[in-house]
Amino acid sequence: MLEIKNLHVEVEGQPILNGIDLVIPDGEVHAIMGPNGSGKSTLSYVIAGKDEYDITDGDILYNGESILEMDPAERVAAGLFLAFQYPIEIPGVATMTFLRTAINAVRKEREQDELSIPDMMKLIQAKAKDLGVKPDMLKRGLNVGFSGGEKKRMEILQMALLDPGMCILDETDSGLDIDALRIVSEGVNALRSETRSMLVITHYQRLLNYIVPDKVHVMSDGKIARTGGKELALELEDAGYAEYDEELA
Amino acid sequence: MELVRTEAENGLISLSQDAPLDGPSWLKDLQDKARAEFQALGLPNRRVEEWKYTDLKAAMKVAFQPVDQGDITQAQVNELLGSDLAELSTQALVFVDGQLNEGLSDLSVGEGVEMLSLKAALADDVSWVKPIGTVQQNERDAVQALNLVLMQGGAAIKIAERQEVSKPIHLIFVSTASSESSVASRLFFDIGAGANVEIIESHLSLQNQASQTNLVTEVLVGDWAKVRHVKFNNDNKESVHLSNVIGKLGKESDYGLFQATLDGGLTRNQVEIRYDGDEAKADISGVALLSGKSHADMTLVMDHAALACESRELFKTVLDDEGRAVFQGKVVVQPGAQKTDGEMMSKALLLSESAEFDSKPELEIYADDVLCGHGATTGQIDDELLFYLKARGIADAEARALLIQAFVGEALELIENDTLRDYVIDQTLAWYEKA
Ligand SMILES: Nc1ncnc2c1ncn2[C@@H]1O[C@H](COP(=O)(O)OP(=O)(O)O)[C@@H](O)[C@H]1O
Ligand SMILES: [Mg+2]
Repeated sequence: MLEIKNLHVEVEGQPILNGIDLVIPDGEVHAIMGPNGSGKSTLSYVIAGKDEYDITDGDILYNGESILEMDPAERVAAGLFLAFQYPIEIPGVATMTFLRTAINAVRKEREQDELSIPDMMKLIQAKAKDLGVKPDMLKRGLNVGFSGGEKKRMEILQMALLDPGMCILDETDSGLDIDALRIVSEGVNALRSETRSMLVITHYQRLLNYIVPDKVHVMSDGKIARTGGKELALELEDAGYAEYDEELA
Repeated sequence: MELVRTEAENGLISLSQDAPLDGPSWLKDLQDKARAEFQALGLPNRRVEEWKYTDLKAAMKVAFQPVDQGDITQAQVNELLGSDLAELSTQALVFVDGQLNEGLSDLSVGEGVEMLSLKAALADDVSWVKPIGTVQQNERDAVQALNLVLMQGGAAIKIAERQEVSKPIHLIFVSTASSESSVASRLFFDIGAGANVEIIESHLSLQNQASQTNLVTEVLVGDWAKVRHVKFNNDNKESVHLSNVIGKLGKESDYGLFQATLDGGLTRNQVEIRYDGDEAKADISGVALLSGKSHADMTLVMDHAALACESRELFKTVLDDEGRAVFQGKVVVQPGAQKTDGEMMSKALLLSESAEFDSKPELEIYADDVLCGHGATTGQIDDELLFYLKARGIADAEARALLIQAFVGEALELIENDTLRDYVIDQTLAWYEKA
């Protein structure tokens, strides 16, 4: 269970999140929608532990414990995973090497045995196949020369491999055509379980046709402006964000 | 005006009164000239343009003495090399404290390969070693002059025309001294037209004592010949390692030199390549990983004197603590050397605020139809990349090591021999773990 309590966040003295309250129980999928610049990515980065943000008030608890003092790698071992809106290209780090390093690092922190290289390869290749990640991509530099859709699939592959309890997906749908969207959504849905929660951030309702949420929150100006069921997404699709966006209003 | 000499200069001048190697009169003449040159120049210092960033005179307080050849076993040499390198099938020559150790070396005459100790080659006045000391086109500097007089040993290696040498030639320099010592060596290669050979140079120390090394390697690359040359050194932090590779390239020849420097005290890897025949190619690249107060200087002159030759340089330097690196790359295009294609890149990654990287690329172009470019970058580890790796569960230190590895990897890819490349990768990984 993820609990965000009265979270206030600033960057260089500029307030961005202004008191977020959000609880995502085990097994639930919540969506956050909202206009650009409302603070959705900031929230995801703060949960993941990026250090350029100042948390001026509030707390984030995962399974009852505050994560604010944990470094990003520890949060992953604890079960949090963020699929980035803009996955980073790292030339010179082979994708396969990166995946192996990440899996073993997390297993070690969780006090699980290291996987042997053949077992590791089998695991990676099987999950890669499910997500339509071509073997050739695993040999290339991480995300280097990958299309937008390939990068997003790679994010979901990492998510599947690191076995998180709480998945945060930041605009995983952006830049995907309809086929890629379906593959990625199937990958995500396959990971839904009673013990795993998800926070799906999106600007568009479309993704939520594939990944059907238990709750939808609307974020505006660094706050949760409204919370409802999955039908709220459809309402937003029709009405737009004008109501929630000062610049559009 | 009376010259004020440093203690080290006085020591070197007195050492250079007697040349350790006996040779024919042409050598004695060269040595007399070189001796006088050193006396006139003294040690290079920051007022000498080419040594502006590497003030050898200030850094080298005293001149260490050469020592007698110490004892070392094959097993000890193998242990110093590490299993990967020791198991690589090569024809090895082992130089112990500057002397060729015949017991540890494989001097068997392979097909088309002649390997002589420098001492024997000069004593016998072997005709093909006559270019020694004259391969260089530019004026000798003080360090090169000193080597000509002080050289104690080394090797002369001749590869016959069109010879494909199957095993790499491995030149292993080991210092066994239990205290400070100096070594001056020279290698001379005469590579026949159309030959193909791989050269490996390792510089090792048994007792990890401070040493002063002065090494000159002269390489004559015949027409259409292909040479791959890899050199690595990992000296003690009080050591001075002065290396010169002087190459002359024949028509359509292809010379690749890769130099890896790990820490050390003061290291200068100086390279001068003369393109003598049309359409020759050279790739002079390397990596330097420097921590503590290590200083490494990569100084290159690519001298294009023929048509349509190609030069490629890629240097990657990682600097931690107060590490300091210098890159000086000069591309000269002589009048008439049209269609020259030169590309030079030097990149540094700074891991500490106190590290320093000085880069001085120079183009001297006297022809109009040429394509020459150079670039240099200095940067730090990218926080965005670091966060991405950490957000995948990889701890800070390991994430940094991956990014450093990625940075130097682009250059390490240039080592063609898989075993050697893996060896250098392992060395760099061991360096990050220490750093
Ligand atoms: N590192 C940062 N430095 C400065 N401003 C930032 C930073 N991160 C986010 N912001 C600002 O915070 C606001 C919210 O951004 P973001 O969280 O990316 O919104 P969203 O993902 O909802 O589009 C924007 O005005 C953005 O410019
Ligand atoms: Mg965003």
